[in-house]
Amino acid sequence: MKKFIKYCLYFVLPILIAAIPLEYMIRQIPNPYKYKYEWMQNNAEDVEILILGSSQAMYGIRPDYMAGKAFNLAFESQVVAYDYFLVKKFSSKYKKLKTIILPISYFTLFYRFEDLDSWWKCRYHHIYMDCNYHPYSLKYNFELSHYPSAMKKLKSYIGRTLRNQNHNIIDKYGWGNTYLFSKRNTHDITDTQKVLSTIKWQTANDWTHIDEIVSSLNNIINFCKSNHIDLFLITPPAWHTYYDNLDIRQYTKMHQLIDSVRLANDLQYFDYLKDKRFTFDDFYDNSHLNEEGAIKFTKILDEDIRSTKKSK
Amino acid sequence: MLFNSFEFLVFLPIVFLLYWFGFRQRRWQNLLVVVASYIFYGWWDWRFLMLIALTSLCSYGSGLLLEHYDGRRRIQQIVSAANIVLNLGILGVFKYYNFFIENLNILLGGANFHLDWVTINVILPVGISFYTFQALSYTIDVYQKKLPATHDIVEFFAYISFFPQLVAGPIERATNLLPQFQQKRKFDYVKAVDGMRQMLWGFLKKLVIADNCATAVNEYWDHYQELPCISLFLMGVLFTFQIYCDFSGYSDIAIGSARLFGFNLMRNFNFPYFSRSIPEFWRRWHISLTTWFRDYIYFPLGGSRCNKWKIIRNVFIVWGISGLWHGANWTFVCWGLFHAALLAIYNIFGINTKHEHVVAYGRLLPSLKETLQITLTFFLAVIGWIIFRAESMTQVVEYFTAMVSNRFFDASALHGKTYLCFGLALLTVEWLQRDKQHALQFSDVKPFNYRLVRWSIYYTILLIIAFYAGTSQTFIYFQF
Repeated sequence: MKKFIKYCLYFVLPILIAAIPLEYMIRQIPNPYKYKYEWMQNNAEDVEILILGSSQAMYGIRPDYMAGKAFNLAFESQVVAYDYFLVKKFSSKYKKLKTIILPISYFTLFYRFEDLDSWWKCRYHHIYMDCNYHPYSLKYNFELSHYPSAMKKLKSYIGRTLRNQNHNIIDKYGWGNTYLFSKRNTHDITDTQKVLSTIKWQTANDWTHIDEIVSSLNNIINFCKSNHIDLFLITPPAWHTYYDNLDIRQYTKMHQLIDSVRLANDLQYFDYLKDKRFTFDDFYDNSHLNEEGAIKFTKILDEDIRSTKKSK
Repeated sequence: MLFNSFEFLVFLPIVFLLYWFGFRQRRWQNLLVVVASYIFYGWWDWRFLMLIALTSLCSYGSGLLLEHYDGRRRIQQIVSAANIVLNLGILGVFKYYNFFIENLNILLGGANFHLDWVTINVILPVGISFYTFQALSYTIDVYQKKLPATHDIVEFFAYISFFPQLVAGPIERATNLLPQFQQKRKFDYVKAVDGMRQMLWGFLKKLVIADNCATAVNEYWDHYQELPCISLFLMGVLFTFQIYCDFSGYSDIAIGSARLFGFNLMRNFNFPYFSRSIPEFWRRWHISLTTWFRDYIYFPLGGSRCNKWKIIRNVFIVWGISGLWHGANWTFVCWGLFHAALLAIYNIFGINTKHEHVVAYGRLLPSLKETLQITLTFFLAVIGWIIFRAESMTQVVEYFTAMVSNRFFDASALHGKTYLCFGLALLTVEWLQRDKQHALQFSDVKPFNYRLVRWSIYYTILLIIAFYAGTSQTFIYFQF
């Protein structure tokens, strides 16, 4: 037994020795989480409009086209509990914050981040943004705990460095600038099979976490109320191949939940999902806007928010 | 908890150290196995622990009753039947209820009678088919007096829930595993090291081959209307690699980790893609399930000791059930019947040879005849896996129609070539080791006697995993 343990330790030791600098190296790679966290640490007091949500908001809302100093704090797959974490994280710093835009996508109210296939993205909130939802979990606090994504990140960084390419995938106000019209594959928009596979993972079989998720939403609402911040719930636009194929049961439930929260708290909700003003050229794929679509959407959204505020 | 998760990497050494250092007495070790197994399972969804506990309790109680009523055959039959009905009832509700109602609904739809309202929204508990069959094997064996009933509830719960094989097998027999829980375990260095090697090979298969093949298959499978014939066949081959590496990889990790605790689980895969015929393929693929069906369904039906037509009937019954066991979908039933038809053909033509040795025994390469046999068997297996992978019978028909009606070749549409090469490289290594328990069992080969050589191989495998592991996918057989 002692021999076995001794050799196991000898075997694991070089791996551990290699893992520590590797973890360190990967953490040094510039990434949106690190950038947005640092930006908020330094500039949160100047922010007037805060944009939360998932990839639809990260790539679809451009803060530089909004009237007022806005910042996009949305991340891929981010759901309500993590939106709440971010709102709270910088709560002591806000001085001018007047508006929070909280996108509710088709899957937002049905999934916890930890249960998504892309759960590993939520560890970035822990590693780079000081999130304390799982303080003692190795799974959520190390880059190497999900080595395929860690290795992909490292390989991509090395590749970009060798090709002398830019490492930034967001602009200075947090908008994700990689979903470009020139880089899109129209197949991603029109192909029904591709849409169905996207919708498949976004459609939850298990609705047991709805109460927990709505409770996080209520926390954001209460925070906004107590700090006199206007909260706007929105559903970003998508191409018809996407919304035509949504699971009607989940879609109806999503609206029921939004309506109950909206009516109980006198909130504004803008549903752009099926908005006909967005054309084929505005999309990057079936549910995400490209850079031009993002400008168009931001202008429409900004106008709607301003006119709502005026009418109050 | 998944084997390919960070939690398991922490969980296994902790349980290992507690098992050998904290609890040296057999009964305490068994108790630790139960606790660890329930944590392992509850990590996924603690609510279903009740279900395992219920299954275990019923089978344990049935065993005691069977022993108590020894000699009173009628009562024993009732007890045994009640236990089977209860276990299959639980399985039926969670796995087949909606399937049954949906099909009944279609059947009654013509009479304008709808049953939509009686479908239920349940999640299929992971591994339910595996532990239910394991529990059934115990009571049937006690009933058939192959095994005395156990009085120790802890060792019985440990037998049903033993974490390495709890969620995806091998489906153990009480006659093999239960006595191991009844004996004092002694740490065996050679066995433990070999277990670690087997686990490493299993991880390589799962993380590099299965997960990468899964990415390609998941992305392109549904595009069968547009892909050329060769690409559709390639998708089938990739899925063939995926399912083998996924499931046999899981079995390797399960068997390897069990060996760390001093247990010998039954072999589940014996290099099935080197089989010379479909009957041989089924003697090498998911051995624990095929032998289960053989012993508990095929033999009681008369097995092969009856006339040819009855044998064929028995084969179709067993494979129909086996298909259904894999999932509540007609595609699985169709897959089972496809293999039943192949087995019947082999049987009718008398080419159901039981080979004494592995293919090309004592030679490096197979003969031309063996090569043709292996190729044909592999081709038939691919056809079967295409049926298995499809989401509906409509897709099965459309996929095969596309295979014959689409254009034959388009070099730009050959997706997943790299993963095909990965799969072929893996098969090459396994070919060289085909007479062993697993591909990393190389203690009798000279250069591998040196630790430096062995460790270099282990580190190389770890580097391959680190750099080429695909996007993490759950094990296919979890859904069964």
